[in-house]
Amino acid sequence: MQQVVGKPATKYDAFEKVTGQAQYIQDLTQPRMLWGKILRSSLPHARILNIDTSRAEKLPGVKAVLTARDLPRHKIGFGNDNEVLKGSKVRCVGDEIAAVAAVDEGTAQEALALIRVEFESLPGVFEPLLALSDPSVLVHEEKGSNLSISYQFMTDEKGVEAALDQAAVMLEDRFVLPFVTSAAMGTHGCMAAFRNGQLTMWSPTQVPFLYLHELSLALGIPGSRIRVIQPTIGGGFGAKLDMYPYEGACAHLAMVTGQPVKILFSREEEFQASRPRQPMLIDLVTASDREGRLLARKAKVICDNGAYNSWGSTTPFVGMQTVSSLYRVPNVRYEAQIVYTNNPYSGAMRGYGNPQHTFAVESHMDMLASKLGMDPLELRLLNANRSGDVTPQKMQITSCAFSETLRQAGENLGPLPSEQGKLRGKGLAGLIHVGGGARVYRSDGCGAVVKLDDMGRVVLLTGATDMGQGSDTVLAQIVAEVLGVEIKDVRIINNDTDLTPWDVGSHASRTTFIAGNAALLAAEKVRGELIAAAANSLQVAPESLILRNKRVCVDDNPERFIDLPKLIRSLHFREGGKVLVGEAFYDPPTEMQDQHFLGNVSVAYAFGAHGVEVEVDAGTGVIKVLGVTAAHDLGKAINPLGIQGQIEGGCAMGLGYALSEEMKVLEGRVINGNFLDYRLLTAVDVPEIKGIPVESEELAGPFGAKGIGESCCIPTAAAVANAVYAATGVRIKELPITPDKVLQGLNELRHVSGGQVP
Amino acid sequence: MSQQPFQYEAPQSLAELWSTLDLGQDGTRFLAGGTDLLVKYKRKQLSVTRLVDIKNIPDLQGVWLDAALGLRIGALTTLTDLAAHPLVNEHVPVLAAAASKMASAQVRNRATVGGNLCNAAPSADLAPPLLVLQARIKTLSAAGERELPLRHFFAGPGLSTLRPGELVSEVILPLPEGNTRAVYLKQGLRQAMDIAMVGVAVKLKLSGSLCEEAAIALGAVSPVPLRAESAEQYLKGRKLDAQSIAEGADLAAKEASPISDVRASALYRSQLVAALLKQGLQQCAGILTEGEN
Ligand SMILES: Cc1cc2nc3c(=O)[nH]c(=O)nc-3n(C[C@H](O)[C@H](O)[C@H](O)COP(=O)(O)OP(=O)(O)OC[C@H]3O[C@@H](n4cnc5c(N)ncnc54)[C@H](O)[C@@H]3O)c2cc1C
Repeated sequence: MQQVVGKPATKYDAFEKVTGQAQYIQDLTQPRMLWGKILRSSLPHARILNIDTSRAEKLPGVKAVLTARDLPRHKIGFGNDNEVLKGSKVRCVGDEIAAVAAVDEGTAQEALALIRVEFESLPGVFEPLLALSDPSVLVHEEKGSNLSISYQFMTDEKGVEAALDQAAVMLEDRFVLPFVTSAAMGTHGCMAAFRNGQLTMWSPTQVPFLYLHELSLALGIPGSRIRVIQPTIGGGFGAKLDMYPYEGACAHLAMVTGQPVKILFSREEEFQASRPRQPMLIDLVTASDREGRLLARKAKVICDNGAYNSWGSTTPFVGMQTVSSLYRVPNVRYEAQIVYTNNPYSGAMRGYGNPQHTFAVESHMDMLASKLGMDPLELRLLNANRSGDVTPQKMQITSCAFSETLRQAGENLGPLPSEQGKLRGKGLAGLIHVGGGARVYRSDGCGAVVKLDDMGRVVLLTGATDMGQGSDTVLAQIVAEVLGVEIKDVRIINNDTDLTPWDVGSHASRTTFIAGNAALLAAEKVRGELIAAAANSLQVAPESLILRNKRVCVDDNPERFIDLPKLIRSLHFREGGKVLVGEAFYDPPTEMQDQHFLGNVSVAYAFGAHGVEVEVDAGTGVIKVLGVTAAHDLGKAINPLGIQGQIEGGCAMGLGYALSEEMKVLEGRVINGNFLDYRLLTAVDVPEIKGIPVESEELAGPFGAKGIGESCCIPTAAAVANAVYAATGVRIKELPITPDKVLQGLNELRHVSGGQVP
Repeated sequence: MSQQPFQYEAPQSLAELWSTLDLGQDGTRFLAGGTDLLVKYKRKQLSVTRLVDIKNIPDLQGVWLDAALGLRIGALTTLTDLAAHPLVNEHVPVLAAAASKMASAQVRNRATVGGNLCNAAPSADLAPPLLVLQARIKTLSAAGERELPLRHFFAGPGLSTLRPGELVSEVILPLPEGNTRAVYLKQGLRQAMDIAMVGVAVKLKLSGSLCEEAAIALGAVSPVPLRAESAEQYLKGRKLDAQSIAEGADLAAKEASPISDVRASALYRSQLVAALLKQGLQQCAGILTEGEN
């Protein structure tokens, strides 16, 4: 019987967060610290003719003003298409032109206003389709076109065509997805200090080791002289995967001034210059036989990359997986083009491209059901993935409770009775996502060190980042379980690259699975030593010993035990004594995809389904969400309370994506960059969310667990669209599903049917 | 941050206000709850050289009943107090209901009635209900007092007919006659913390299903909150049934001249006027029939 794992646990850092003790980047300071500010481009596309910083430099209190001239010309970013400060051309509103350090924030701000930039404004390109077809405006001239990256996956071409020929039903639709942003409570910011020839960077990055590497390339400083410390992170959601240009600028300011420098984003900067989720155009073809068995899927996807590449430019990896592997579909063709525009540049926001693709695929599943006259649940169950399946991209499905989640979330689908003037309905959508890491980098590993001291205090040093998702709690539970101690006896250190072992970072819903396995292995090593020592001192066989209540005791005779601290001291304080430290590096047995995008990138896959019930006002088109049932195959709920938190947060994010959120960008400029007009749903808008963990016991997972962090926001929007259709007969293929769109749809139906719809 | 510093004063009485300040000066602003002013200032939409905090002036506070004139609401009354005040709930519950739908609890604790009107947003939520309640505005300035109907108060988006140095001291409401009911329907994209895409206030005086008098006001669909007069005239003296309600709603929608902006399209706003007004008329009629039986 597990003592800690599987029991609801209060978040490890709950107390310090609710009492305001947690130290975010905003709270940090250093003696003699200066404030940095970035002069950003107000134009979406322009040549820089001249930058005059002389007046800013003369302003009392200003310690440094930097432009591209002052920096080494290292390219930065994914694909090396970006620079810390732009010297010759700006490609989006918000592009970094100059950096200032001053004695206080007001002075730094004032100095920005004194910098004169002479621009030659260039025509911009803001529509990816236009950017592809018309090369007269090039975001990066040297590339010769606006196509940044293209992805193509295909099963046998003849097979695809034959399947389409045979199909009894074929659907072809375009789905349109807008810019949205994660609107994390913790805005970006960093602090840099040079001491003793070493750079210490405080940054809320969610990938500290990759960040360190990128920073070293950007600055031209060996990585061995950079230390990254993460303060408490107020939400990452993928926007904190990239090393940002301003962070390089901050390090340079610290270098030239010899003083620590801190830069913080304002909320306006957060909207304009952090990484949003990509807008996509998805042209999807779905074909099935008469019984509803899927025969083929074809997708052509255009992603608005914005002005530069980021990790977001790799999201088709994940989107492709949804098209090829969500449900059993033998014939697949997938193409995606990542297109440069003069818009803000997109990142890999929670779900890594999957929410967009799932919206298209799961809308189509419903449309297919209605075309075939089938029950939407039956159609899905017929095609659902099962354990043992190998998908067209060679993904190996191990544990899989997909059908169970569909059934749990898919009760009472379709139109529902409602009062006069209102239309009710319930819709369903499923998902697949990586659940056992994701090998998108040459290592998908994480290191862990568990150490016990003479007071019986357990410390876990892990590379894994908790940016609010609750992984520290889960890791503490795992270590506590193995060592027979309470969660509060485990201290986690995970925010300092000088101390913690390597990890690829918090992304791909991998932390519980990968860092959990690493922590488990390290704790088991320590456990082995404890058992051996206790067996020796109690004179019993090691197999008869268990660890419980901070003791090592004999399994069938709990009166015979030795207290952990005492046991440790006995090992420690003696001749030839030793400290108790266990170390492990877990890198999952997976492969990187080959150039044909074939390969099992994850040890396990997460499945799930959301059922959403809505009520639509027939007069105004206003949608009220009455309830969400979110069933998730997560292997094993190590912390059921944390799972509920992730599900509720994910669903709220998914509902916002479905109904109200849209970052409106006009000629490259965010025009609703505030919380009044960028509409996150509020507590009163979010209905009761019923989270149902379905435990499929993944053999490779720590205590059977798989990832869930992203899954819970992925299918919500599709489920809402399907519910709106069930209620009204209106099919919306473009997010967000605003009352305006619903009402126009209702009016069209009224027009066609001569007023039959209420 | 790098904006021009301004002078801040907080007079304790009207006398002090008039004596110490040259209020006619450009860039002099009154500060009440600050929930509009400070946002605009931070966004650099407003230049401020002198900020006169009026919150401590007792003459601008309180809600009381005046036998001759009606209900009087001091300009500094917060939305929270407006929503909870017994006199407001007894005599003009529509106003309490409108206030409770605005912003969030935190904002309502600071935001004032005077600020909502003087900010003169076309979407100000108190404007439509106050318009159908035939509110009058009392103003004060160094030159003395004046009173004007609320419908003459708005001059355009962000503009009122207040003169430089003049402030609103109270809102005066005649007590509604018997047999009248009023509702305010607001539609945003979410249920809290939202500015109306459209707001519609309806007040009906009914005798059975006959509409003796109708007052209809629309918010967020024209440069100033406005009364939908042709719909009002159409409904006056008519039996309220599905057809007259639909017709009235369509007439009101035609009176609106909405714009498309970041919150909603013009077409949808017009449709929303008709849909909300229909609901509003039905609700008023429904409530009354229930009440009479
Ligand atoms: C998050 C948020 C949500 C909001 N939601 C809503 C909403 O749902 N509905 C809505 O209608 N509004 C909303 N608002 C706007 C605002 O809160 C209201 O308009 C509020 O009533 C303004 O009152 P105030 O006291 O804060 O005005 P202030 O900001 O103090 O003043 C506003 C303007 O009026 C002037 N002024 C104030 N009082 C007087 C006076 N007595 N005489 C002369 N001039 C005066 C000021 O000089 C200023 O120009 C919201 C604002 C925020 C920040």
